[in-house]
Amino acid sequence: MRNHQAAKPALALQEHPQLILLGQPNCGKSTIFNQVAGYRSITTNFPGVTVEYTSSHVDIGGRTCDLIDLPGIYSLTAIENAARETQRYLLEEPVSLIINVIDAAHLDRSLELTLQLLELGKPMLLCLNMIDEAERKGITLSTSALSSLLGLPVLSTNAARGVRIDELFAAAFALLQAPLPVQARPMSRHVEQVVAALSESLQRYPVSSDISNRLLAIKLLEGDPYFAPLLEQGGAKLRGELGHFQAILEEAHGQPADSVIAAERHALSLQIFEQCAFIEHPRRSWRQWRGRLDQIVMHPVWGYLIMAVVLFIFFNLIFKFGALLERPILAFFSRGEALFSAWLPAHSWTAHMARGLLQGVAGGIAIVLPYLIPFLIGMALIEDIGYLPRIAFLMDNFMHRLGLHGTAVLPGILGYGCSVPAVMATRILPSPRDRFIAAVAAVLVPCSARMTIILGLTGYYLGGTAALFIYLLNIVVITLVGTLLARLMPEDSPGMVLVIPSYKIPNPRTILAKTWLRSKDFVIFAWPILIAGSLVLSFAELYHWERAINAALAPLLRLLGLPEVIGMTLIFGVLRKELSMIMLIQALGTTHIDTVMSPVQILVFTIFVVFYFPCLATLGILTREVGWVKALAASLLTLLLAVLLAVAVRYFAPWIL
Amino acid sequence: MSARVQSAKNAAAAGALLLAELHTGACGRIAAIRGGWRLRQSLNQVGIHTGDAIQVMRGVHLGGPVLIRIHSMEIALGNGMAESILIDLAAVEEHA
Repeated sequence: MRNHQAAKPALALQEHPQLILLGQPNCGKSTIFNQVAGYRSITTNFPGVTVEYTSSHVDIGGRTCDLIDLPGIYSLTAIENAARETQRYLLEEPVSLIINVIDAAHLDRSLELTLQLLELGKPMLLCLNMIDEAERKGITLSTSALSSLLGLPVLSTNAARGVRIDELFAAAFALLQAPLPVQARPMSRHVEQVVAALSESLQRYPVSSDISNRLLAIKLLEGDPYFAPLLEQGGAKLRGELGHFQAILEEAHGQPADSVIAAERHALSLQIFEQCAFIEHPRRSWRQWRGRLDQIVMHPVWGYLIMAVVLFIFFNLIFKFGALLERPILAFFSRGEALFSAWLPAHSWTAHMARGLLQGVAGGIAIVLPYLIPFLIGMALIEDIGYLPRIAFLMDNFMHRLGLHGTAVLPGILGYGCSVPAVMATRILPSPRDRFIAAVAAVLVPCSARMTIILGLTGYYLGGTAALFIYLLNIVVITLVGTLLARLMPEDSPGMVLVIPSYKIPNPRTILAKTWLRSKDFVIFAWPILIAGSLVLSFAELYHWERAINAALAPLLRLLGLPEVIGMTLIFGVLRKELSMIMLIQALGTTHIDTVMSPVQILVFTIFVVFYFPCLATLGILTREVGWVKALAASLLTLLLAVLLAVAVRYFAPWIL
Repeated sequence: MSARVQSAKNAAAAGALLLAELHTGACGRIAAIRGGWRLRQSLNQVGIHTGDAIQVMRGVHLGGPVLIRIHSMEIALGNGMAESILIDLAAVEEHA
């Protein structure tokens, strides 16, 4: 550490060393990351996919490095997107040092990943995180025993409280300057013989890979699809030879080759664990407390009740808080607008541009500040406490009807607040297919802006039953669309496997960091679209495009049986849904809408507006999450649905109303 | 010996019971995992292997998921998963 200067030439090839934080999900990796990275961190997508990782340029004790927080993985064998990208990163990108973060309370399971990482032969450091949780469970770990068993430096931390984080990075920098040789641990003799025989055979084939033949042999025996292209290079002969070795393992151990290797690693992990852990009876109160809580929280009756109460409180707080802030913010901007119109000549180019800009900016601030940020904080809280997987468990059954897993319920519920965070929440889902279906469902859920139309128009003029009918119709339609999409896009994941983590006391710093990163997404992707759309509409008014727009939309409105003057209203609704209501009043020239529109027309209009197109901010985020082709497809689907439903209501509603 | 353990022994002769069929509180050992590569891998990764002892914390309710305790971890498995895992109830009886 002291000879920092001397070490510089070695690091000169890369400007900064690349430190990778890697571990299994829920190991507290991101907490460590946020302790040192803070607001400077950026979220980046892996090229070509929507899997993301966080990275930051970090200065610790006068030394700098790039710290990269890769998605959590259970194993180096990837079965879903995020894990595949992590695997690719580890195998192909420059990695100076791996900090393998381990949940000390589950060391036995975590070591299975560590053993695989050892095979990479890259400089590595072990971080036993959440050491306090292990102690509560009655597990005392000897870091020195573990260190000598694995041949790695081992440090214990408590990231949530920031304990020994500086020491961790000091050790990492020390290791960078004087790397220790990393050696893989051998499996049982018979398996090692097969691995050795295969890796020797591999030398005879023209397979080119950066990894050792030993690791390649293990991966091929496991049948890891990541190496399928490599296997192709070897041709039919290599495939035949591989099949022969897999059969040897299968015959001797009575399991498929991949399970044999998994079992070997499992046994080896347990063996290491037993040599470095001292287990006494856990503090009784602790285990009982968690057990009792989970018995209620995941109970087939009480569980749902608790979930309903938690979500009710969650949304109420957000809406109350949001409404409290939204009014003064909007008032502030309308005062600003009044100031502009006093200064600039009315109906001038500049006045309209100023107004368009101001409305776009105001729209962003009126959504982001009051609703999105409290929502993201609340979401991070539910996530960090560990309630999310429990919701997923409770909702798995219902969500299966939509071809999704339990976790997908969250975006749907969030959709009742605002579609933007709802679409962002689909990121917690593992596969792109699940993400797409959940995003479409989330967009279809009437957000609070659409609620103002349902309640203010249908509810006000036709009564509460009619408003309730729209909500119920919406749920039925979402279920049907979900089922249909699930049929069209067959499920590719084998089913839900969800480790239920223990409850944790959330760390304010992590929550703020998460909120900050996620709101940055909105600001970068959705806000500019909102401002641009606002400008376009402002000019549309200036040049009296509404006549042309109304004329263009006339066929659609005739089909729906609605007055043609409200064509422009629908365009405004795309910008911001709550504008539909205000614009409707403006277009019709009266606040007594029932004097110019029949009950059926009111119902048709409401249903059309509820379904017809995501607002621009949502479209922006949707494009960001699923790509523009799918975002456009989803939007057109909602438009088609809206037309079909509105026409159906136009012809069927008169019989009932 | 209770009727359930007896029936499990009979079932063990013909195979074993499916995890999806077990009630809350049941204990056993994983006799086999019936499924393709992806299914095996996704179970192996979180530490579920053939031969491991498990306890059912919440049995299947109306075709929903199952919650098991294994290696002092709690893991929720979808219904489809639970139907591809065979449990030997008798095995735990000996180890208990």
